[in-house]
Amino acid sequence: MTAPFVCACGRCAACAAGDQQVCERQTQPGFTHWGSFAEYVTVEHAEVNLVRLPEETTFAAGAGLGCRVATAFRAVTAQGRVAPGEWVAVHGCGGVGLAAVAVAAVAGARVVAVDVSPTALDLAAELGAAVCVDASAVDPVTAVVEATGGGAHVSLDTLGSPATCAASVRCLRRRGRHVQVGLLPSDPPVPMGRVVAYELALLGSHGMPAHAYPELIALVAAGVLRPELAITATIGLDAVPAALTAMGAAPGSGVTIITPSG
Amino acid sequence: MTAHTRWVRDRPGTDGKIGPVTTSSPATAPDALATDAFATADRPTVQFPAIQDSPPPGPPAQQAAQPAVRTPTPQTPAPQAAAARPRPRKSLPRRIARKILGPGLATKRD
Repeated sequence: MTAPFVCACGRCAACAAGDQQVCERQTQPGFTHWGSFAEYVTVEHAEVNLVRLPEETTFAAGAGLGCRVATAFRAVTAQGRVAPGEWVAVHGCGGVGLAAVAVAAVAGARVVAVDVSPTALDLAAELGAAVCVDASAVDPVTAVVEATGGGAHVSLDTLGSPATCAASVRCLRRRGRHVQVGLLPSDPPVPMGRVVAYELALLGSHGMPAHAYPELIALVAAGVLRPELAITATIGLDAVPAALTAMGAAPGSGVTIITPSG
Repeated sequence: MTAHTRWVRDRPGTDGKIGPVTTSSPATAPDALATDAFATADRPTVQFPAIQDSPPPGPPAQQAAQPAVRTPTPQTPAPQAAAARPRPRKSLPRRIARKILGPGLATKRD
């Protein structure tokens, strides 16, 4: 089983409309109650939130379905509405960003991956990015606009910083769609002049409701989407504190999964 | 405090609390909703290629030292749409038309 990281109440107006990802009384394991680095986690309102996975789903693949892959899937498909042949820019190739690269590539888009880490860009290329931009060496906006022949149709900020948010908006072509996925510590300045002049659409994306999982699960079960390809390390529960501390100082590349046995 | 922790703390519904919270059902709660109640909702979504026709991503390609911008091999340019498009009709400049057709025919008639 898995569950969306946004656990819904199932009874509020948003839930009644099918938008459990923005539930008015949502809970999030690890933030509103204990979880998720544990062997057992309580999922409230299980009838609304639990998602059955096929027997053949590996724990490595299933580990990403609660947050990063599901979040990326909804951001690319439901919010970004990416169409085959469109250019999609992904700013920030961490866990969610790499999943967004893979989902967009599978959807038939041409993906430009942007990051400051060559290792992260290597992973993005493996997952289907057609163009990789090292934002530590070149201006990412200029690079994306040049690579896409005028700007991306869809751009996602999967990191969540003022710089990546602004770059994501500025690298769009006219009538492009910006999808904000990365959480921001405070509201960033957004180039609203460009939003007006280019008729850009600004969209938020926040997890994915449980009822939307079947399409994602089918792609994983068929081997079209392979969340485990982004995994670069497996650690035990005892190693979690050190790993979390290290993330703040020197973010690694790829995804680390935690197993109870290590 | 991480960005996500701040996000959860500051959002409606959590009362600014981080940690165990108690949720209670509203008095007017409708019947429990089935998870798949919205599966058939008419929501626009991306059409993926047929699953059986889509091979899984291939093995990682060996790459040398990478430039700042890595681009794919230039693709064959698409056929020019303009070639198939009929050319717009050009009217002769009046001065030339007058020379060819004579002043009477080249004059705009009301």
